[in-house]
Parts: sequence; C-alpha cells; structure tokens
Amino acid sequence: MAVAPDVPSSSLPETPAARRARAFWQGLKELTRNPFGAVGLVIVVLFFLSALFAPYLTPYDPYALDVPSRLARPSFEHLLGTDQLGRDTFTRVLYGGRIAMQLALVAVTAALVIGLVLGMIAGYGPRWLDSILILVFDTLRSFPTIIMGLAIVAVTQPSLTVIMVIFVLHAAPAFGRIARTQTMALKNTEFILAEKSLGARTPLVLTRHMMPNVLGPLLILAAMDVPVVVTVEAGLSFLGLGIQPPTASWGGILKEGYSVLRETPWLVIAGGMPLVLTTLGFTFLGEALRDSFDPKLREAR
Amino acid sequence: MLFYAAKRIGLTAVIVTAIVFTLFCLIHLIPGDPAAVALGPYATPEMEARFIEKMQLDKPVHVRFLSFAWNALQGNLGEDIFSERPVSRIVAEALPYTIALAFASLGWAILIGIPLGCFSAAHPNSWIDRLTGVISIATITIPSFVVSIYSLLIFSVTLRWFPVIGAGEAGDLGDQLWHLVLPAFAVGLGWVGYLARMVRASMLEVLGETHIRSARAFGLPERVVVYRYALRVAILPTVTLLGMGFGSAFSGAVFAEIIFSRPGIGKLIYDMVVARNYPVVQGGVMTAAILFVTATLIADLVAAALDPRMRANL
Repeated sequence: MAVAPDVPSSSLPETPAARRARAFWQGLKELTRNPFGAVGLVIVVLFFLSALFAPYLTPYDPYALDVPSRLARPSFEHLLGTDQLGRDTFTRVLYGGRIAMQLALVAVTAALVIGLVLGMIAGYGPRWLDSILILVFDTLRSFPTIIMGLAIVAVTQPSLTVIMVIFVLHAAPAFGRIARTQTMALKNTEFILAEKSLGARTPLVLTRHMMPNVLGPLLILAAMDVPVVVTVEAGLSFLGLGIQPPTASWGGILKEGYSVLRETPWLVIAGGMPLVLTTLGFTFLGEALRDSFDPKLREAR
Repeated sequence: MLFYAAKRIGLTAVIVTAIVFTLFCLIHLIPGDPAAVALGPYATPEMEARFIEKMQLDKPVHVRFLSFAWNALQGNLGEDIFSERPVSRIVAEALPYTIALAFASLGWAILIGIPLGCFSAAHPNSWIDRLTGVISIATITIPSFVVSIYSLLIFSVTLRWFPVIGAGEAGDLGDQLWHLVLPAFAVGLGWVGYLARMVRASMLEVLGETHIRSARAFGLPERVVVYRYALRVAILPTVTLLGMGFGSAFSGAVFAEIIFSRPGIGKLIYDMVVARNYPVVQGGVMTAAILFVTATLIADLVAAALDPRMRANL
C-alpha cells in the first residue's frame, strides 16, 4: 500500500532504530529527573572535564618544587595548600585525575571486551568450554582483589599497565558471568532460531544479533566498575605499589599525606575527597542508569 | 542436601587446586632469574646456590609443582628466605589478628545493618528509609582505606580518643579491643550499608507474601510480624552474602592493618611484597584465598540447610 504524501510522519510505523533512539532519550530524561542520577551525571562530567583540561585550570606545574613554602595551608595562592616539596596540591589533584580517567576508560573497556567475548563463548560454545571458563572465572574471583594485586606486583614492577592487568583480572569475570547468562537466555529465543534457520552463520548471529542484546547490562556494570578501578589504583598507589612518584595520583597524595598526618591534615583531605566524590558520582550515575534503562537488574546485584 | 553438599564441596576442592596452581605459576615462572630477583643485587654465589637448591629451581616445572602442592597439602608452605622460619608459622602468627578484625567488622555491620534494613523495609519511603538508602550507597562506595585514614585523622590524631597504631599489649584484652575499634569501624562501614540494602530488598519481597498477610490478618502486632515472621525468611540471602563479606573484609583488612600498623596477614603480605620475600607472599596469599573460598562454602552450606530453595541453583 502506497503512503499518501500528506500523512504526517508520526503516524508511520516506527523503524527499530527510531524506537531505540526514543527509548534512549526517554531513559536519559528519566535519569536527569532522578536527583541522584543528576548529581552523579554532574560529578562525572566534572571529572572528565577537569582531567581533560587540567593544564588550563591551574597556573602551576605539578612537578615544580618550591621547598621554602612546603606544607602550606590552603590559601588563594594554593587552593589546597602545598605538599612536602612545596608542589601545589590542587594542581596535583587535577593531574591525578588524568591517571584516574585513563584507567577508567582503558581498563574498564578492556575488562568489558574480554568479559563479553569470553562470556559469549561460554554461553554459546560447547559445554566443556563453558565449564573451563566458569572455573577460570570463579578461581579469579576467589582472590580478594587487593591481595591478588599485591601478589602480582610482587613479581612485576609497579606501573600503570600492571594496575590495568590487576583490574581486568578482577573485573572481567563479572562481565563474563553476565554475558554468559544473557547469551544462554538468548540462545533459544525465536528470533535467534529464525536467524539460524535462515542460514545465518554463527559469527554473524553472535556479533550482529546477540551482542547488542548482551551489551546493555554490561554497560551499566561498566559505569559501576569505574569506582572500583579508581579505588584499586589509589589503593595500590597509596601502598607505594601503583603509580610511582613523581607522577601525581590521588593515592600518591594520600600516601604523602599519611606520612605527614601529624603535621597537616590538608594533604589527606585533598587526596581523599576527589576519590570520595568520583566513586560516589559514578555509583549514583550507575544506579540511576540501571533504574531507568534496565529495571530487571534492579535487585540483581 | 547431601547431594548438594557433596557437589559444592567438590567444586570448592577444584577451585582450591586452581588457586594453588595459579599461585605456583605466578611465583615460580617469574620472568628472568628468580634467584637474582628474590635475593637482590648483593647476593653472593653461595646464597644463590642455596636458594636454587631450596626452591628446587634446578628441577623441571612439573616436579616442582607436584612437590609444592604435596607440601602445601600437609601445611608446609616452605621457608622464609631471610629468617629461614617456616612460612606456615609466620602466617599462623599473623592470622588471629586478621580474623579478629574480620569478625569485629562484620559483627558491628550485622548489628547495625540488619535492623536498619528491617526498619527501612517496614517503613518504606519514610525519611529514615531514604536516608538509609543514601548512606548505604555512600558507605558501600567510599574506599575503606579513605575511611581508615580519615578516622585515624579525626579520632586518633585530632580528638585523641583512640590509639594511633598497633594491636595493643599482648595479654591485655581490654587494650587489644580498644585498638580494634577504629580498624573494625573502617572495614565494617561499607558492610553496614550493603547489609541494610540487601535486607531491605529481600524484606520488601517477603512482606508481600501470603503468609505475612495471614499473620497480619490474625491481628499480630506489626513488630512481631516484621521481626519474628518476615525476618526469618528475609535473612536467608544475607547468610550467603556474609561468606563473601568475610573475604572482602580480608581485602579491606590489608589497608586497615597497614594504616593502623596491626600485625595481621594483610600487613604481612604487604611487608613481604616490599621485601620481595616470595615464599611468605605465596603462603600468605594462598591462606587468604583459601580462607575466602572456605568462608563462602560454609555460608552456602548454611544457607542451603536453612532454605531448600538454595540447593537448586548451583
């Protein structure tokens, strides 16, 4: 049946892409109406902006020493005071945010991709492969995160890459578990069976038809995992086994602050607050995302 | 139940084997020359030869693994490369401090978190419920080492209410408990929120069930309905969670022990990582991981004994 040209486009049946776009915008609207979602979104945006534009937000160099004015209190000159070597703490907090951002982007993406691939293989592949992968997942999850981190740092040199590896080993199994469950549930749904009976090849079925459906819950978990990776980095750096000085990191600032705790509280306050804010921001955002985009997951954690 | 228990224990045995294997690989397949890495640049050739002999570095890998696993099975975790004391004894000395900390942390979290969750569920959308919700999320996400440092700053350094470091005089129980307060506060805080959330969610589910409606229809007071009838069922998922909690308390304990200088297993592993004393690191990490797995196993078995529905999902 031909469509008359004067029919308004809204009465046409929606294409799947348009429907998905509408659902997305609706979810986003709901997200900003939830006060915690809105607060979380603001913090997350600030986190990325301050990390991206760090050099433009401060007149100081994060490595410039000024020993005579060491351990200064906060003032207009030094917003968060200075550290033991007279470096401006606010500047170092901003640059520490860059490390956190890099990790948040790269490590979480890596964990997601690895978890997604392994989880879909486990869910779709033969049973013996599934059993092996589940055993690997469960074994990795049975090491308390930071203790596993310590064991790995023990045999390597501390670096950004090692932190990423530790986080991926800790987080990928969780992504894998969810991807596996989703894939198993999808495997026998009608639209997948129909694809297969039409002669679609396995790689096509997996990437084109199953992946979009598996990905949703994983993205929400990814938002929730940013605080975890930031915490792992800060924790290891606090122990002196993560980001090495003089590179600025929040954990490193805490470590320095801890060593001069009796002289000044400002360094631990400056190192801890961005950590608290970032973890809270991403968690609020993740929770709100889950509530507006995937009500099924609400109590699944 | 017997079938479930057998299957669950079998699975745990497999995971424990995998843990031992993973740690073996991690420590024994260090890239480069393990003797040089472990002993540092000042090692004499004799020290190196002795190290190679003791760690059996001249034997093939599978021989090393089998003898390592066999020894570990008998509780022999090797020797400290510097002091030459048995690793099992070093770990056993540190363990009570960490176990006390884990129990104290979970203990206060249970005492506060579970009633809070019940109350929230019994009064949904009241201001206490909303406040609990926000505080729960906040305490779950804030890293425990930040809580440790801040509580050290506030309560020990500024207010001087609590001791700054150490685990207290040996033999003086009161002093030891006094030293336990802040670390347990820091490690347990996240669990208060977590438990409150879990209990609230499962409580809301249970309160909607028919046996609760009947109890209400009989005119039982609300307090009896919530705390005597509903809590009994609603508490079950929490039991499983507590096994995990024990393990994560171990992770949190690493920081609390370092920050408050408690001589527990977390501090031991950390000190030995810094000193590159591999046998002790290996023994400590293995003990921590196996304790974690065992705690989860016990929690699952208890949950399955209490609630037959749990036995289905394995």
